[in-house]
Amino acid sequence: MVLQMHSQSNSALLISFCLMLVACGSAPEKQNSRTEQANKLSARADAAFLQGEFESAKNDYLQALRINQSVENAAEIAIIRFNLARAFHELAYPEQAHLQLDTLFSEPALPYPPATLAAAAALKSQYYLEGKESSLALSWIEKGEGYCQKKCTVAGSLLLLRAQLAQRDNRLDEAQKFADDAVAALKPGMQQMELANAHRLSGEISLAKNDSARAIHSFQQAHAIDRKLGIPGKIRLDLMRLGASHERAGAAAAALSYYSRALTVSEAMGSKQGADEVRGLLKALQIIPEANISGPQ
Amino acid sequence: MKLFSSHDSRLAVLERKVGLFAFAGLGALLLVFVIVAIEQGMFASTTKLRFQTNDVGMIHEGMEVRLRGFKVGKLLGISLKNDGAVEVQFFVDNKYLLHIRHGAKVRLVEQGLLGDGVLEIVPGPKDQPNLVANELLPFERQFGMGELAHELVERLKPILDNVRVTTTSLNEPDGLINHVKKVAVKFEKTGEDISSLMQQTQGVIAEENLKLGKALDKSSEAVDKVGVAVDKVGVAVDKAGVALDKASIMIDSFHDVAQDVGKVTASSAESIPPMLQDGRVAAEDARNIISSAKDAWPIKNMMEPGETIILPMDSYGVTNAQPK
Repeated sequence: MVLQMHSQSNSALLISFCLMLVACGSAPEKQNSRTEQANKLSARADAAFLQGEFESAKNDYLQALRINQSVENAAEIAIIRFNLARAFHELAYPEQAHLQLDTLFSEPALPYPPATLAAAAALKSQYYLEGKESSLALSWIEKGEGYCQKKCTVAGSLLLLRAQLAQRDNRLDEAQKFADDAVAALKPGMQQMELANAHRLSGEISLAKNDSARAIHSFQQAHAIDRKLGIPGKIRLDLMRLGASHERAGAAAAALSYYSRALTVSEAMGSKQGADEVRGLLKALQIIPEANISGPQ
Repeated sequence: MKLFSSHDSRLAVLERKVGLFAFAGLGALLLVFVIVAIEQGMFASTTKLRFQTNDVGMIHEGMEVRLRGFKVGKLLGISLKNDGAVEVQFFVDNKYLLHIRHGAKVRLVEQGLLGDGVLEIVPGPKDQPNLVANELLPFERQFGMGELAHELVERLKPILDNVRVTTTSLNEPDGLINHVKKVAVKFEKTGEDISSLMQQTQGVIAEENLKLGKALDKSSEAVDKVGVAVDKVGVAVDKAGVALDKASIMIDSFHDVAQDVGKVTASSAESIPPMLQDGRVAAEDARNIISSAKDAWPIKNMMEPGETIILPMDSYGVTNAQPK
């Protein structure tokens, strides 16, 4: 009996091995030529967007959108409309950005994936928040949460938006809780940029609550991630916030060091406005280094 | 068994059945053996041939010998000769021997990125006599992936050297770039001169037109003033002549510039086409290698088809982070 069972388990093992071998050997499903072309355009647009070439990104997204519409690739259409909205927003066309997102929620709609709809709702909420339309921002957060069911990839972003809304209304304890929840929800590997945002926001709330030690810790974490990602604008922000936190804690020397670093980054970015802002902070510390912008203004 | 069959008649029937089963089994085994032997060409009429090489790498006993993709024989053995050469014996099925004439050669071909090698017979011209047994055929190796990569590196080296040398020479004070700069400055200067000349000429013509108009108006009043007017026209014509001379100088200057451009182009024309040619061939080789690698298993399975991806959320937007 034992021998028979042993034989059966061996057979099962052999069959499993064969199935795994077949699975390893199987080729991935081949895409049709139109989908492939659209994906290539979309990838090119993504690269352009991340390099700050928003006009070029917009054009490629529009082309990819047309191709996907011609073959009714619902999931790809939703993603490209989301990305296109981001490109329009960066190009200072807020109406076009909203239009792309609204199309995803208007009838007759294709069966778009709920996770992408949740992301689109979060993006609309962010735009309303930037436009200081808090009630609309809140309604879109709720809509996003409806699609997200707390498990999708933008769950952390929605919490972060709630934290920003609470911070704006001076509900600091609530804001801190949302920010902490966002830090917990965001995955360090996959959502680095948003995680850095959550740490930075948490630091800002802590600073508003006069908790300098916690603020410094949060800003340091945000700064470490932003340096890893290589985003100068955000590194500059982190350094300024770190300077402010040390200044608030009474460590003027440390504050000076951070502000000086922020000034160097601003000058390296070629941002006169940014450099002037940091000089204002240094002036408040009664130390004003000479202007040294050699890059493009 | 007989002892048992004497006790039970059913066992006698069983004995016959077992005997039949055993015979059938043996018969089937023999049949399989014969089929395998035929498949392996054991009963086929073959001719032994051989070739010599100085490297036995990728060659092993039992490897296939092919003719135009068909399996026509097999490698029999490899031996090291007294003179240090490696001799390889192989056989070819006689029914295919008609297609292999004197002048044929054996080529070692690699199959794909990780594929085994096969011996491919390149048949000789049809008007040549048939091969005889034990004839020695010439041998060559087709470039494998390693050799191709080595070849690519070797071909890229001179290109990179050329690029370095050309870049250096371009950047030298009397190099191509500075030469082109000087030519461009000449062009600009010439353009300015032409513009100035045009304005000057227009001015002269307008002035003289005005003077001519006045002179003509006055011609009806005083015929004696016609001579003066004619003189003035003469002066105008002289001035126009000077202007034309200046235009001629400008045309000469243009000619010089064109000659300079011609020299620049000629000096580039010598070095750039070979570089481009080498670069094109190297790029084509690289593209072929990458394309083959992408199509070969298991790399093929590792290549994921591109997907449309959503941009990562940034609720603390770039706009907020980067002051314009």
